Amino acid sequence: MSKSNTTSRIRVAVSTVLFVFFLFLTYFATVTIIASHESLYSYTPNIAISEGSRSFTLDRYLEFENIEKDFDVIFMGSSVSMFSFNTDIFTKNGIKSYNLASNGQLPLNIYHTANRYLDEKIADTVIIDAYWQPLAVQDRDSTEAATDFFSNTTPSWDSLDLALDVNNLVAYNTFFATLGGELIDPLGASKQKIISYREYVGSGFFKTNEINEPGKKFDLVGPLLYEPDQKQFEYLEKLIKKFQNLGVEVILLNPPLTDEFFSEDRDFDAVNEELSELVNKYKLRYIDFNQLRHAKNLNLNTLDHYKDSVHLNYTGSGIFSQYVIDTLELAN
Amino acid sequence: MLFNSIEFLIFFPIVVLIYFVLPHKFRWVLLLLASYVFYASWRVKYLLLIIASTLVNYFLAKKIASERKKKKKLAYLLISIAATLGPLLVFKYADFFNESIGDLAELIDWNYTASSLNLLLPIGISFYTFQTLSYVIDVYQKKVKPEKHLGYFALYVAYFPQLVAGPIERPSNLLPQLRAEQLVDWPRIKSGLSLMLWGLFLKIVVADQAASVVNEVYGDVESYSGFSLVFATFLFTFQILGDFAGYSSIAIGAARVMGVDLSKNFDTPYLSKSISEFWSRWHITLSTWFRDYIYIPLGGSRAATWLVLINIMITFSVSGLWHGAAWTFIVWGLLHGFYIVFANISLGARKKLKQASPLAEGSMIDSIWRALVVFVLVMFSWVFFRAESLADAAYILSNLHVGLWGQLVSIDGWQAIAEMTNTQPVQIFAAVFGIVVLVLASLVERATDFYEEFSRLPVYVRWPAYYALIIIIVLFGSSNSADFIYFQF
Repeated sequence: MSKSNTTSRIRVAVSTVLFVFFLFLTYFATVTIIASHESLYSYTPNIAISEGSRSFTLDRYLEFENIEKDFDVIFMGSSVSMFSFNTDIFTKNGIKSYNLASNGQLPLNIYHTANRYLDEKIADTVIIDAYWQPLAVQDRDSTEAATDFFSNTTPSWDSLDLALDVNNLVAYNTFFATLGGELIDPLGASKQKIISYREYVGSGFFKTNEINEPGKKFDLVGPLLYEPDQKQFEYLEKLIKKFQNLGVEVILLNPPLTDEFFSEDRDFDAVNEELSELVNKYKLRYIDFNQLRHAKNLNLNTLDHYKDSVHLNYTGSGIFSQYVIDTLELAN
Repeated sequence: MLFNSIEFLIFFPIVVLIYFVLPHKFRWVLLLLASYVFYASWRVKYLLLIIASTLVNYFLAKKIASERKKKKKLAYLLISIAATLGPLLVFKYADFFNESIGDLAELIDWNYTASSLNLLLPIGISFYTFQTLSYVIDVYQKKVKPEKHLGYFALYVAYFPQLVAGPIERPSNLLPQLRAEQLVDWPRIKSGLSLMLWGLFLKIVVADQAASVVNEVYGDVESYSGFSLVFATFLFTFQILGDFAGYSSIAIGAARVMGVDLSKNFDTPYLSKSISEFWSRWHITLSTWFRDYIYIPLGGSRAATWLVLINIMITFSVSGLWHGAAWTFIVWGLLHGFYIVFANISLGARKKLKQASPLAEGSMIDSIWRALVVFVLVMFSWVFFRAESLADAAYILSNLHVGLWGQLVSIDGWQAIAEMTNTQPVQIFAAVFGIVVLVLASLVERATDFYEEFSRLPVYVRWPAYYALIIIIVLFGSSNSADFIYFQF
């Protein structure tokens, strides 16, 4: 090999390394600048920052980090769980609980949240959302809850691990943007947005003051055919193993949805089948409140107890939470 | 395997690295294997179609070349054409023809039951079929000699950068380059990578962001009217360019990295000043294919005027059918044929009109005006191309004006447009941003040999430009990047 050839190759190698290095620096500087201006990130489709989100994620995670960790029960899962488990009712029944559910929190997100906050036994029971939507293939994957997590928690290796597992541009960009943002202006309770129609109650639960007008019709959400999302089922299994290894009881729970939701001919069979395999394999308690509610007179009606076709409102969450306590005999 | 996928991001550098490390005599094996892996990653069994087509045409082309009797030569050619077009007709058109006969039967009250084959269309079949046809026809016409080496011929049919969506190459251009020993050439590699980067921008920023709005509106046209329909059609006009020109750029760039120059496929088509010029700048390798293998054999421009016009209409209707087995595509093709026929027959009248017009021919205002007219005509034709049925196309065309003015004056920001199209403001912003960059780049490209000029610029200009493009792709590219539209053809 001639000397000039070798020199040329070294030059190419060095300039490639420099190119990549400066590219990353430029990228990091750009996303950091974007992260610090809402007017910029609200027009950047692949950065989804929700610092101080409407679901009080910032306040809730901060509170959870500082609270004494000795719970009877912790709730995790999507917004259906977030709106369903009224921790006030649990407290009144002498049960120490915390609602760690968040918007779009799928098993993958629950797994990473658990890695951050539940790596040792801090609760006797964890109740995980087994609503069909998070377990089915859907357009909206784990990105929503992941970006919510990045925006409202201090960046760590867990966050990077979560970004790698979600594995899309939005997750990576939001991770690096919030990392840069955190270096310049760290997160703090003061950043929680004030939401006029919502009020933080405590222990991870917030109250919604939205009132439905008489005769209001809700949009029906979700597909007609629910196909199991294998990735989410894998994470659900990992979660169950993790908690069982810690000696924490896992209960899978499907909160009650409106009658209107079932007015369409929906097919949950495939998801139910996979779910029942898991339940049998790990000998779990699984309760589908959509089946129980009519048999056990759980009186929930759409306009008085729901904020839309799948989420309970404050009144509904109170009734349902008491019903969960009685059904699962948690107060004993 | 998609160019805009993580798999390709890993596959391509590995292939390039091994390619340059291997001795020249083994490189065709690597490229052929890589091409088959590239294709088989979609559906392994459909690879058999490519292999079968390769073998049949390899041997028939040799027969054509060695046969002295004209009739036998022609017979071999016809067998080859039938064997090559057969799978295309079965997989792509059988159901369409069957359904059309069924519809016709219903009209004339004829008892005909149309049963569908429901076959999955092999990806890229229209492209490699045409490329293979050009080889046997060129051998028949003695424009090229038959390739003796089966491996190189197989590579000509299946060369992965352009296998599934072109550019449709001619044997005289591609085969000698595949045979030639390619050395590591850094300027070429850099230029190829830059082209690939630009192609990715066109695909995932321009095309895919526009697609999010277009799919919403065109997926349920009856929920929209006026501005929403006009805006979605406008976005589709750029989506289709971004999608296909993006694919071509990545294909040309990938081949260039490995030392092969593929044919240019797009050349700022939306700045054309006539429909004929548009077709000399849009999907150039397909247009020239139709010109050389259909239009000219039909008689081309040398026949009587009425025959020329019929030839144009036939060529464009076949072009429409090539794009898709649906009446919407045929109408789209016919519409373009009509544009050109009309331009031909109205030439005299238009000249007189021009002489009376205050606009000086060739002036900037004249050029802008003509480009604008061509753009609007092309945009109008895309309605048929994108609509899911002729009924949808008719609905769109009859509702483009409904409430248009009122909607236009009520637009006070991205939010307003997003509400009209049932999308998010950020999607509208990203789509428009991508289009603005594309239009500016097209203007620069029209004025100068952009890539050549750009590669001569100093590093402190080039690197920030690359960074900007990469960061724009990462921040503005659609995170749900879809298949390339032309894969379905």
